Amino acid sequence: MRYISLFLILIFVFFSNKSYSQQTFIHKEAGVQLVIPPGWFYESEDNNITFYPEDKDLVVSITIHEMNNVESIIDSLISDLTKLYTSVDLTNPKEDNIHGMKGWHFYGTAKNEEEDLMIQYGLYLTPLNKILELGVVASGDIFEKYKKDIKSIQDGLKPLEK
Amino acid sequence: MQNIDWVKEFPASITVCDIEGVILYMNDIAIEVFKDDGGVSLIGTNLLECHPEPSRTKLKNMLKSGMTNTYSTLKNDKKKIIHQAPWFINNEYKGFVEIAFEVPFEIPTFIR
Repeated sequence: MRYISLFLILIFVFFSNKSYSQQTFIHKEAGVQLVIPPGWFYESEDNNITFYPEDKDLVVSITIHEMNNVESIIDSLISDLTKLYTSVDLTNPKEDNIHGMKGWHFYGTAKNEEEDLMIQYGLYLTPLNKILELGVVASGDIFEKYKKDIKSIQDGLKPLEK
Repeated sequence: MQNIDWVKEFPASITVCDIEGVILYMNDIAIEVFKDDGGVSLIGTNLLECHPEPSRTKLKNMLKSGMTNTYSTLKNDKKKIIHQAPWFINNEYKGFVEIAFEVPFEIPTFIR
């Protein structure tokens, strides 16, 4: 019995470590998984998820929307950014495709009171008919600091593996 | 009433900051809630420093406008109400108070 318990503990530890090293965030309702960069953390509140590094100087925000008019979500996003910042200059949303999921992305620049900012947003239709919004707003140097991590989050978004 | 410190152990997280965002006060629950971020040592630090964009600009606008902000959050099957409102002394705007507390999923509404 003791050996069986030890075996179960070892299996648990093995799979716990595996799951930790993979750094995968799963959103079952949307049917997607995302890669959390090594050393990053996440918080999840209802349909809002944030990924952030240890220094907490950047946030990658992920929002799961109910299937809706994508254009209205983009319009509302642009409207919010315009209300929040000045000199907002964004590209027109461009069609995208990531791991078979259709999407749109746009990027651009804006200013807050202190600095110039870079903006990057992507919206993707998930396998379970939700819209996943993934966005980052940060100053140029912060963007540069986490460029690889941001890319790994974007590239790591894919349908949930069965 | 002035000498009764009812806020310290009040069962809600209460944080007070000045108009620049510098934390002036945290009650016991707030210190516990934010223990991973520094707990009591957060007093004297600026809230803006620990809020990256876009929250930073939102917070800055809120401090500037003095407009109340209320919302609910859902985390780990717990629902919380977050109420952020300006505080005053002799009608002079002095900063913001954030009160956060857990509520049941269904809250009775009495029409009166």
